[in-house]
Amino acid sequence: MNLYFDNSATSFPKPKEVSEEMSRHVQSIGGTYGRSAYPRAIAASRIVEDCRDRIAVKLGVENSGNVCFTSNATHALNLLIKGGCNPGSHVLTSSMEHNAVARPLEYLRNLGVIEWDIIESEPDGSIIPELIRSKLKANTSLVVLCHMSNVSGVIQPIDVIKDYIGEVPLLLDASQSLGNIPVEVDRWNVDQIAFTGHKGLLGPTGTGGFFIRHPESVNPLIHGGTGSSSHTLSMPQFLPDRYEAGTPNVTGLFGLHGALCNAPVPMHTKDDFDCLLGEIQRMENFKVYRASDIKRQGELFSVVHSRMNSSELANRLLSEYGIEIRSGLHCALLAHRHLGTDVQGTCRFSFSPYHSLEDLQYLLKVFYELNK
Amino acid sequence: MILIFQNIRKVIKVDNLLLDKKIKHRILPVPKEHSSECGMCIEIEPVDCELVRSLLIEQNISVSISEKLS
Repeated sequence: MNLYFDNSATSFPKPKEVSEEMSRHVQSIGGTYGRSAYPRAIAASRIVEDCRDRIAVKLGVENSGNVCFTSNATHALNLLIKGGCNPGSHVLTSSMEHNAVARPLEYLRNLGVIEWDIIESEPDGSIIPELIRSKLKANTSLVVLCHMSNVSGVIQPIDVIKDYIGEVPLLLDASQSLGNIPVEVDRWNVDQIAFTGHKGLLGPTGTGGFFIRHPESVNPLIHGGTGSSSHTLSMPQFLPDRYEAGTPNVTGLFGLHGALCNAPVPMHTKDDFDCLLGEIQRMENFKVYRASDIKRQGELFSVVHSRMNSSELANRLLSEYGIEIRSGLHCALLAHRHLGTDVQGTCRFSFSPYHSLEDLQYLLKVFYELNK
Repeated sequence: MILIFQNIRKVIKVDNLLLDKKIKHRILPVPKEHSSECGMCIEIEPVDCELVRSLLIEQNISVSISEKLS
């Protein structure tokens, strides 16, 4: 039985090909990316580039050359926010952001570089698109939005929101969404998107990246060797080299490639998840934090118990039922402030394709017992 | 003939293209006479040069083509 319900922190289990491919790189392929031309380096570079192409397909972007790898989504978000915000500019964001967005914004605000505001949203965190225009200023240079909340699972209607934003660049944080729900960057006309490899994509930690449509507007965060334009002390202007200084996590990208090539068939349906969520919502001793519209609900949610605080509930789930979940603020202070849970936090349950209907039924049984 | 590209991504892309088209080639370190790059370039037979050039134009891949030295 799979009792790990913390897939929003990191996915587990992963396809067996993840570890097999990482082991293959460490034990037999070896070789770095983009430097030298012996067979090991060529073999490693081929996998990295095929991984990039496969990520582009997942993102729904045609120009895979503008997909760049970083060590995680936080690194990608820092690069895009710090590299793209000019002094005196204004940034809009949502009430459901992770600290990977909120902290870089606050850091720049404290330095006096930018000011930032929050777009108004519904009680469940859904942005109210009609209210975006009133928040836009003449100096608004970026809108940063979390595609799917890591606290409640609410999914923002990006295509509708983009219409209201207009020409201001939109940066999407797809940390929780990519691999779990459809992402269509080109169709939605999203300008930038940051992703991680170890959550919905089921790859290893230490992998992530971003896509950028107009790289001329964002400076690199890290400077160094790229295996290209080595005759100049300036970073190359072309992609992905402009943002990929230093040896990438080749072993990790082998693992991510293994995951992308071997995505599992989900062992439960979205209807199974929705039924579970509906049952829990009806329990009198649990308050559920979720999207009000089930069509905008990703496969994660948070709860608060009427008598136990979040850490007590998490401890009971583990010690009495073997269920692993995450309690607290989930590195998302803004989201918990919006939901009114920033004092005690919540207990979050996040799912994976490796959960069977039987696993969900067991979880529901546990909820019934704790509701007594 | 030596094909020199901006970066490794393009080398791998063209390598895949030539493999697909069954055009004989091999990946080499960039010769010092051509560039200060520390990466890879692609060697092709002179007889395939025009075919490869037209393939790269078709794929919108910029390349510097030189005769092999040494």
